[in-house]
Amino acid sequence: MIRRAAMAAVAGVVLAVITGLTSPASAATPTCSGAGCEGKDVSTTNCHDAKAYAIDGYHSGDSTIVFDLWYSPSCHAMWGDYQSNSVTPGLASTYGIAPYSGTGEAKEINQKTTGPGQGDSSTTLVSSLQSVKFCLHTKAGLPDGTNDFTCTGWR
Amino acid sequence: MTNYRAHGRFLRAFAVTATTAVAVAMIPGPAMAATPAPAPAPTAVQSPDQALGSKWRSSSDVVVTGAGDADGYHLYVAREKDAFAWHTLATLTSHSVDIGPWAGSVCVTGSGRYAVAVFAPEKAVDRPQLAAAGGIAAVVDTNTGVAHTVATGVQLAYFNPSCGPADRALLTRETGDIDSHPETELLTVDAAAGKVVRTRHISAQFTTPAAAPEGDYGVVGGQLVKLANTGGSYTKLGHPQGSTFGVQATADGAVDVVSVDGGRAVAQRYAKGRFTTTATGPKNRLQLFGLRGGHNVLVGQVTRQAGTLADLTTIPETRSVTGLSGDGHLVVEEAMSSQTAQSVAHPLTAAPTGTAGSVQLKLRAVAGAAEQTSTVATTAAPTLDVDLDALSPMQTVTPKAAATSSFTIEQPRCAVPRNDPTVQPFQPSPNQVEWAVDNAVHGTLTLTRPANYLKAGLPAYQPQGSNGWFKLDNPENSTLPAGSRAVPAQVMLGIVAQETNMSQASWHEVPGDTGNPLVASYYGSAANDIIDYSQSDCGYGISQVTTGMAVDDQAAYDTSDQQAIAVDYTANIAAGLNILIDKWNQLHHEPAGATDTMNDDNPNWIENWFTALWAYNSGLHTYADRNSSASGGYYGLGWLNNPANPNYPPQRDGFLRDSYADASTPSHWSYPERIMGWIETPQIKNGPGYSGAAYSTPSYGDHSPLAPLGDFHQIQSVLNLPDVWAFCSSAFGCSQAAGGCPAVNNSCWWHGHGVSKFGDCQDSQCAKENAPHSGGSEPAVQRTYQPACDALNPDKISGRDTARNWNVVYTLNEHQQYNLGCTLPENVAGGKFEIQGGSPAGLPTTAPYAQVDLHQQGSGYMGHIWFTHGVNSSGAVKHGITGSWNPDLDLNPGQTEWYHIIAHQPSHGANWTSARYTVQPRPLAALQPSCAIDQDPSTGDFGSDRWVEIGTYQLGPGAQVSLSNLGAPTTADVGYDAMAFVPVGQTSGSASCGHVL
Repeated sequence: MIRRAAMAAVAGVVLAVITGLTSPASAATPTCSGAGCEGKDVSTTNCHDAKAYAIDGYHSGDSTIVFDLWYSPSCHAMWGDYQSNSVTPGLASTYGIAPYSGTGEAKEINQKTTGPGQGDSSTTLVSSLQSVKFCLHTKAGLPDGTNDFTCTGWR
Repeated sequence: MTNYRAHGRFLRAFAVTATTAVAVAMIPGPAMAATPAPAPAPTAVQSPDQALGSKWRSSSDVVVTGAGDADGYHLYVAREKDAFAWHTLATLTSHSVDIGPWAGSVCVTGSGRYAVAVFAPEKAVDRPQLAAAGGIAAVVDTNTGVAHTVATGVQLAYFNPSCGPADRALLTRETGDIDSHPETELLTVDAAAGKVVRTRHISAQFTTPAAAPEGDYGVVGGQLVKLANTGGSYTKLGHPQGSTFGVQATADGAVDVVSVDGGRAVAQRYAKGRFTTTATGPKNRLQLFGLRGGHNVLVGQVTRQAGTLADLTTIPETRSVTGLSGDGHLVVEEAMSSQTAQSVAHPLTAAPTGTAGSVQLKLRAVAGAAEQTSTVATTAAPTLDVDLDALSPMQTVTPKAAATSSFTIEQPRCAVPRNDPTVQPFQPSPNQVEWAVDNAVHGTLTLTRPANYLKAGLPAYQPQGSNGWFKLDNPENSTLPAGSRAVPAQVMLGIVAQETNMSQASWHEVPGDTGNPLVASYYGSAANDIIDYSQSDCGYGISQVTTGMAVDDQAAYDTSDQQAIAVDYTANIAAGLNILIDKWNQLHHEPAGATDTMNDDNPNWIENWFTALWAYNSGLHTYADRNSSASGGYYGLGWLNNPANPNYPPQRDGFLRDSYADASTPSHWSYPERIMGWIETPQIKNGPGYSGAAYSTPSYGDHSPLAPLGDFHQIQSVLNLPDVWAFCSSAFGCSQAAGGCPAVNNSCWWHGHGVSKFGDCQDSQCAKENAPHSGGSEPAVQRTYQPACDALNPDKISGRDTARNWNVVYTLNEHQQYNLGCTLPENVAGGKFEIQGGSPAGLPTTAPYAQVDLHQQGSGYMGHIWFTHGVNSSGAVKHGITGSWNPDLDLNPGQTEWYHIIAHQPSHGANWTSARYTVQPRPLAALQPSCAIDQDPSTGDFGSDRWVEIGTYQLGPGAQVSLSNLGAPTTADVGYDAMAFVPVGQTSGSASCGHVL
């Protein structure tokens, strides 16, 4: 079951929380832009600079579930970031819809296996010129009892 | 004043007003009385005591008529006790279909309690499959206007629907191979129950059904037949005299028929096993109607032949009429909506607001022979909005066999996509179309389009250049020397008028706009809720070029050719012309004895293109392919467009010769007849600074026929057209006496059964082209709207923080794709605009449907917007659209700033009067709805482009503004134009929501 990320009032999170989750990389020149970033590891691109921010996300009240969709204005790219030590094994995926909806359907762009003990982890970059959302799918349901397929909003 | 708006979906709730335009019969009013009688309703029959007779107040006579416009097919009712004052009874439409204005036909059951209507988009008839089974049938209570859908997939023909005694009606649906083996399903409707109670399958072409108390009648193979009450069998009763176009039973079991025999119409009564002639008249001036109580009436210039029959009366009438009241007290000579008149006479502009939703009725009160013309306003009435996706299988047409192709919902068959920024065809004005045609027919459409013309990413090309893309191929086998043969320009102009109203881009666009390509059945269905790419037609642009325009059909054109044909009207006309020439050549390549030449076979005569036009629409079954399984040993031009086909009323005058109202019933004429009609009677162009015929009329011969043209009230030269029976030869069993080709199979295909001669062209009886623009250069477009190229000045915002960048989020993220000629300002920060469809967005099983009713248009700020229509919560599953503006604000993570948010509204393309934008100031912050913004631009002659303030918000990185079509009326255009974000640093001087800058 798909559901949109809970709003702040539901999830009990505030903006300050998600904007301070990870530390930006050094202010080096980004190495890719838009579609040219597709499939690259964010750590190799300098996209995670001081301008980058979490544009949507989901944080459970007890912080056992933390994942965010990050946006880099410098690269026009997005990526998903999650703390995999807080969830049971599952999948982290980014989905995309063509800029003006294209043929309409969302397509999975990339996928990464999650699991306890991996620490912070990120999906590869996708172009932000399309609509993007980031989903976490656990095989055994989420610890807070919510559905086992949770997504950010489309951004 | 004329308001040139691009859309039909702007009909509002109309005030209950009506005006009587003309009262021909001016009868003195009664003497002054002590108590003045109440003034009659404006649309009522004037001086009713004289016009209707003294008993009108106690009469129960009722009449229902209909007229279509962009919002649906409207029914209007009038009762004699109200002096036939008119009001809107119901509106029939379907939000599932959005392909232009609606048309229909209606009858009233014998009880007078119910009207039965068949309605469909006006252009449906251009597609043979839709003409055969593309209509929606509904039953309407004549007291309340409450309507119910009873069937879909019914035939669009002059005899459908047919009302009978009590509350019974009959509907037809043509099945089988309509070009070779047409068969018929006859649906019996119990109007009181509001449903189809019986379906009979008749293994024949069954026309002119008539319900009678003890059974049902109709015509098969030219014979009057009586159907069995169950199954599809029938009993042949005999041949009426001529080709029958009307059948009505009486309460006493007799059956009246009217038929065409040569140049006259013959009325006969079938009773006691034999036909007796009851009357004669001119072939196009004798009509048969059923009256309440099981009586019949002949209307027209009637000469009675037999003794008086109590149940067959006569109403003198000088013209062909549309309908009659149930007791025969009021004749409806013509009913045409103002929008239909506009669409015919002014095809490239939408209806003016002042006439939107009105219908013009030409009426005649029988008793007093009083004629009047009334303009009736369409008022709010019960509306039947058919959800084609929700109908039960019993109500829908049986689907054809599953397609064997591999197309899925994700893989369009048509080669050039919709809603793609690289595919924005330009809507030409009529002067450009005529120029292009005049040159194309002479092979001189050789202008050079520069690289990336219309931002389509194409290399430079010439539509008819030396590169051979669309080089004119002169007709072959002509007795004339090469170089002196050409397609007459008017033939091609008639085609583009009939096919597309001279439109290269979507019918939503007016001249000067860009937009989506005009594609026939891109999604494989006329309904918005059905996507079946295996059924896509892929007819593109002004000529509706189909061949070579699918991803699995690239033999004719490569990708660049396909793109040019989709976006450039000159390339499309060149391609369409080549298809027409190919049809001429095909006909001439047939072996001796199988050719279909006409008159003297000179292609320069317009009349000689009749059979090539026939093939252009429904193809040629060649001699070489005669042994294929589809041909069964036969060859030639199919039965569908044979003028002798009984699906067309045999007494018809030439298309558009009587009235522009003919354009609202195109199913009454074969395709080549319709083209010839548009050649004789051009569409009328009407725009800022120009008006008149959209293209030139032909050069008629000195001995061309003369005919009265109804709407022009004058005698003028016309084309020398073939008779209804010109392609009906005893060599294949076709004759007027038999009412056509009784076999109704492949044997009816016409293939040179004697050379067709219906005009002596050598004796100046034929017409030639009139191409005044041949050789000239491309004229400038006559725009309906000037593009909104003036850049927003952010300094107009009080308190602007000039230290921080301001943003404009355009509706095309690829700014280089703006192609209306505006220069986008530099040094303005941007952002991303995105659209998601369906609810939930992107769901593969539902989201693709949202694309069907999503459109791009060259209007709004710098020349691009998107628009769709409103939906309710259930409709949003498939047709929900959310557009979002995401500015890249000049802020660092964690920073906030106060911004004025300003939404541009286009001069045309949006009219939702209460659009509420949603502002999310920062990621995960609570959503803040705006006030209701009026997107309707209606002011003065034209709508106006303007910036409207949404409000002042404290924004941070990741702020987003969105607009959903959820909750907007289904008739409203929900527009997505550019959005500006101007930093103001503080809340003082906050924007006033809804304020226009």
